Amino acid sequence: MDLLWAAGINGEGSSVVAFSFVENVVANQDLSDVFIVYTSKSTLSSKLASLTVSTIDSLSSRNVYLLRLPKACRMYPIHFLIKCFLPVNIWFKRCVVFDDFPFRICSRQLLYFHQPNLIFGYSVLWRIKRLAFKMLKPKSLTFNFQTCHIKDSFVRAFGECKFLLLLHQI
Amino acid sequence: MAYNLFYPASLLPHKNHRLLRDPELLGYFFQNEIKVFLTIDSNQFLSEPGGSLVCLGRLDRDACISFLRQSDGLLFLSEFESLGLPLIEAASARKPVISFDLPYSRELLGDSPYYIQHDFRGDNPICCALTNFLSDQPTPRQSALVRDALPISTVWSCFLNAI
Repeated sequence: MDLLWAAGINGEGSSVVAFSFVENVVANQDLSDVFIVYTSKSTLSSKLASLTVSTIDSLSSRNVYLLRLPKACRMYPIHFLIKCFLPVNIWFKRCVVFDDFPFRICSRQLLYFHQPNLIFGYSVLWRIKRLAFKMLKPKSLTFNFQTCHIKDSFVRAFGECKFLLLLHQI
Repeated sequence: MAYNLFYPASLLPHKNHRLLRDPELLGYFFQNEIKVFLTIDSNQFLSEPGGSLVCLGRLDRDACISFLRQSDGLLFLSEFESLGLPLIEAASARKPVISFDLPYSRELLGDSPYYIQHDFRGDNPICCALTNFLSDQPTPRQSALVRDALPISTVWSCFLNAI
């Protein structure tokens, strides 16, 4: 089973992106074995509320599951601890992460990078988050960037990495 | 003629809402009957006497797209973006864009926006870009995407194949 992790996001732009992927997994009958994680009272959860009950009921036959975690999991310290210690490899073959931090213990993982503050943010808070990001980033991590300029800026800030450069419809 | 510009962005430092408080720019808005609609709460950003800045509060994406379609153009003052979703939405709605000449806007929209030059000396650079926009009325340049966007299902498959 694959994991789609979107528990840490709450911004409008990132929620639109994550929702378009969740919607694709939910609507595409050819996709199966996906575990989707998000948090309650988030922008994404309000978008997911638009999915009908019958649609959600039909997901289990394709082995597609939605898990809503408490809002507290979105708080950075808790979120950081989850990303630090949760061994997602035990339960999931591959993992696609849509929020800011990758899982430290996960070898087959893709991080959808869409937080420019991790590169450009100059406040103390963003400097701390940048440090946390560096601590969590496993060597095997693959990134997806939507644009060349953000990929280049990322490489300047964090060094070379494995990446995809895909702009998609939203 | 009055013009309505739309700036959909949260009140974050890099979104540069503070630039809209410049007295020269506010005077320019007033003189040219330009209203700028912002997606922030009025208690976050106190209204100014001329009434050129209008706070709509937070809007969801559908409401943003609908508002953009009714407006005369997108004003986008962000300092940095990973993508810049409103630029893509403006291109789909074939609306003119007034934004900073920065890598994120260049990569998505090429030469189509009315660019605000960062290093411009003299008048307020936003006023200069707006003057170009106003001089092209009633047929301003529409923005257009210069990169193709892939279907989500294709991208999801690429993700899984890459890891």
